[in-house]
Amino acid sequence: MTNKVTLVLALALFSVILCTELKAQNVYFTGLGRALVTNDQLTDETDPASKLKSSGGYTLFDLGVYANPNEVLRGGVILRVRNEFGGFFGDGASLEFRQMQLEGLIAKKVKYEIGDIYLTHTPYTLWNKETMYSKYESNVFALRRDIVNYENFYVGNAWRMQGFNTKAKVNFAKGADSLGIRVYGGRTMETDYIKIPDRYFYGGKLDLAQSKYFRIAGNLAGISDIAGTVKEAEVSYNNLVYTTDFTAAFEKEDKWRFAINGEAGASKFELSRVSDSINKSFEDFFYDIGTKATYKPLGLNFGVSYRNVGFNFNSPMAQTRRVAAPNDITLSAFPTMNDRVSLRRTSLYDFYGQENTMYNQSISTTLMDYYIQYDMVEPYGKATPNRKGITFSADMQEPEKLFNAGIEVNLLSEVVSEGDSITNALRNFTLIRGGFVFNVNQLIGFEKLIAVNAGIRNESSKRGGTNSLNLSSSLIDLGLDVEVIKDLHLLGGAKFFKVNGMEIQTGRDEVNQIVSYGTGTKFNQQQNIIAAGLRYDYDKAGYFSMHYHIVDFKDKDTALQSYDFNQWFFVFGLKF
Amino acid sequence: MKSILKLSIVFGIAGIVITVLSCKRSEVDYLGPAYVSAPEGFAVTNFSATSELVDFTSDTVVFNADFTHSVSWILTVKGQESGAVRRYSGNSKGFSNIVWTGVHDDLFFFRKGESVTATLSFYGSSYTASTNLTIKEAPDYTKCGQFPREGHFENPSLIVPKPGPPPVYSPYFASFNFPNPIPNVEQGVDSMAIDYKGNRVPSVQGKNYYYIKGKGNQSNFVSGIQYFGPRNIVLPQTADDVWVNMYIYGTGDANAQVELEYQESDPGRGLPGYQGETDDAFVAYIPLTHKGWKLFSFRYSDLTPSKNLAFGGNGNKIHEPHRLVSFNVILVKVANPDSPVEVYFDFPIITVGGPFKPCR
Repeated sequence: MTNKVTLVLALALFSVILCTELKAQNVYFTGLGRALVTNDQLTDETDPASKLKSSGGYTLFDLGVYANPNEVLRGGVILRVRNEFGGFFGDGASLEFRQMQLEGLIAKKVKYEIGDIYLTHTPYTLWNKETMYSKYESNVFALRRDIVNYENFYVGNAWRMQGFNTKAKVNFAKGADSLGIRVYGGRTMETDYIKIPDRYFYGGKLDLAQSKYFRIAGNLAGISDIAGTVKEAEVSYNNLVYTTDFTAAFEKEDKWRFAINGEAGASKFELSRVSDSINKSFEDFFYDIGTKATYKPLGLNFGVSYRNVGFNFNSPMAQTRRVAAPNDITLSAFPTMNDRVSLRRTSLYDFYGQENTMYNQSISTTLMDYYIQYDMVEPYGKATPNRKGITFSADMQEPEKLFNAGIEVNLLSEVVSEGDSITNALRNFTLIRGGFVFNVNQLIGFEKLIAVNAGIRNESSKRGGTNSLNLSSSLIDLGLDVEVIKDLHLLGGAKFFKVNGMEIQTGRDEVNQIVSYGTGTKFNQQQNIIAAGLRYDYDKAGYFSMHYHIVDFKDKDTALQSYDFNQWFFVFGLKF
Repeated sequence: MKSILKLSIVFGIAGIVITVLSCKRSEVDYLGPAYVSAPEGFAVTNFSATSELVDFTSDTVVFNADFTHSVSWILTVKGQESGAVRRYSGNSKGFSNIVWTGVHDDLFFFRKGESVTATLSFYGSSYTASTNLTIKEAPDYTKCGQFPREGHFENPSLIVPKPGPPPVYSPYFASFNFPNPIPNVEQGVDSMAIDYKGNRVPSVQGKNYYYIKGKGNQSNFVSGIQYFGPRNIVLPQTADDVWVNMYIYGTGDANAQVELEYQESDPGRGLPGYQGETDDAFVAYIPLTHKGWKLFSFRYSDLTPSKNLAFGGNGNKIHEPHRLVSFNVILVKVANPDSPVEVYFDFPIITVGGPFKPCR
């Protein structure tokens, strides 16, 4: 008994000393915890008598430990402990480093970050394009998507990379406002010391702000293999993108603001390979110029722009896709149907519900394969090669937060025909997307949230000529969020997706040149997803949420591919 | 101030225009290969193969076809068991005398005894035509280089030690004591193995492959296998001309690594044959971070001398492929000794003049 009392007292004393010491050294902690459980059921036609069921889940905790030894230096690490649902006494538990980072200031002027950092630049140099169109989706889906994004290190349009990022700003007394300088770099691929050399990325920006009415910047982004890291490299790869972007604006009577903005540049890449004596080099350019008018009293914006992106424009850090190539994806919920042989088709549910193996975290120097039915117009974002055309946009942020809405219309075509060697007909692409969020409670003067939202995305790809094509899809989002009692939200949402027609996918080689065309894929699919649930917020520190998702996937042309997938979903989240 | 603004805008836009105009774009009418899709009423009027049962050790198959229109076509020959594929394509109103020697594209080899379907498909159309045949004997690629005996692992009795005549290969044993296996290690010949990720490991060549599995809770060294079959491999003396090749299956596990160790019998250094204490062993270190099968090929002169003085690190350090007498495949763990690791491999072959390619 005496020993136990002594031990407890010693531990208490140690804790007090430790906490005091940590506080003195400016050490602080952050944390994110999550307990998640799902219960699924699959019904399909491959074996009508069988109904596959499964359950899964996990508990995890990310502990961030940060130290500020002084006001210009900070170091941090995030440790993750995760235990799979059903793990017992640590069986199935794992411990890993999720993030390590150092940051600080040099001479109070130059800010730097080293380690695991989040980088974004411009849509044509370094950009992580979001999947599908989820801007106006229901909160019942957004909650799931937020988890997927966190697990895959997606923050806005930034890529999580290992490297460094430095920036500095010089202010001027007259002639110009400031000059911003930014340099970043790191490694995208590690040598195997045999045939694969180290591959590095680098970039920078020189941003001259003349006034609040005019700024111009020069941008650079590249990827290079480092010669000499292996004796005889399998390939040698170099890519450089250089661009200029600018904004010129003027205002009228404090109500209107007009701006001209744009980005233009070029890319050059080279690849040589010893085994078959390949030595190839490609150059191409792009430009994207537009104007924007803003009516300030209503928060109303109108824009129009024109872009032309060459078919050999190659910018891996802007063109790499967030969704992994279809051949690299294994569905985690019921990869096979009830006959245990037929593979289940990927649905919209998998994009917002599957955390692992659905998404990509590394930069690809080749244009990745993609699900053409979900992303036919801009599979590689604005930097998608071989596109030209006009974009119209309008959005509104009502100052009283009653209403916000936006719409964008893209009328694009190919620059050069892909797949019509007889008449050289070009594909025409249309992408229309938009939606709104309407806070009804603001209208009726109710203090708790009552929000209705809706979104739509229509895509089409059409070509006449000898080898005609026609594929179109539509996605409709509906959502409802009602705060029934304080902090308790009733959530509802639906997604309706339809795709119909035929398209041809291209096969590309290691220098992104088209080397083959598929025989064409026909689509006649419909997906309806309805979800409803509750979310209870513990202020901003945490939440509990439970939903039921009903997924109805119908393939009207292919036998035995349709299925119904239902899921109960429970999650408890904590953040400090 | 306004004049500075105007001047900046003019210079900015002029800079962008100059940037765009100074960039190059090649002038082409279309991208990729030419193709013509099948129109309404299109049909295949004839599609035939010269043989329904073919012995590729001595014969070939010839395909012929006629169409109603001139279109872009793909002829895909696919093995029903192996998944091996051979493709031909063209733009025409038919074709004659497409000779198939049994060779494959991609990784997987066609197999002895399997059914093969040859399918004609057409761009922009779901119309297909097909014909079937059977492979009596698969092509023999062992003559595309110096092939270590039984390197296809199709005869397990010559791979797994047993009483009687000595086998061609031998797995490692605990403290070199036959027949005591190394604890927590499983190795041998298989055709239907399931990897640690739950995926079935298909055969890349023939029906069988060799595997080594470390089940965890062991040192960084897991186990290996040594080829000590006939030492009559005939190779040139120039190490730059010789390539060692092997198909290896990985699961993307950064903790797993294979060491391919090629062993020489150096002259005037101890007993005849390869002696670990006195002769050279040259090594290729292969992290198994790839997924699925992959052909690894290394120029002999790029192999690094063994760092282990007792096992090949004490020879004359000269790459002498003509003195090659045996080789080892060793599975090790890179960092975490408690984590299970695995490797599957097949068809080791040594080639002259370049990496292994199906040579028919």
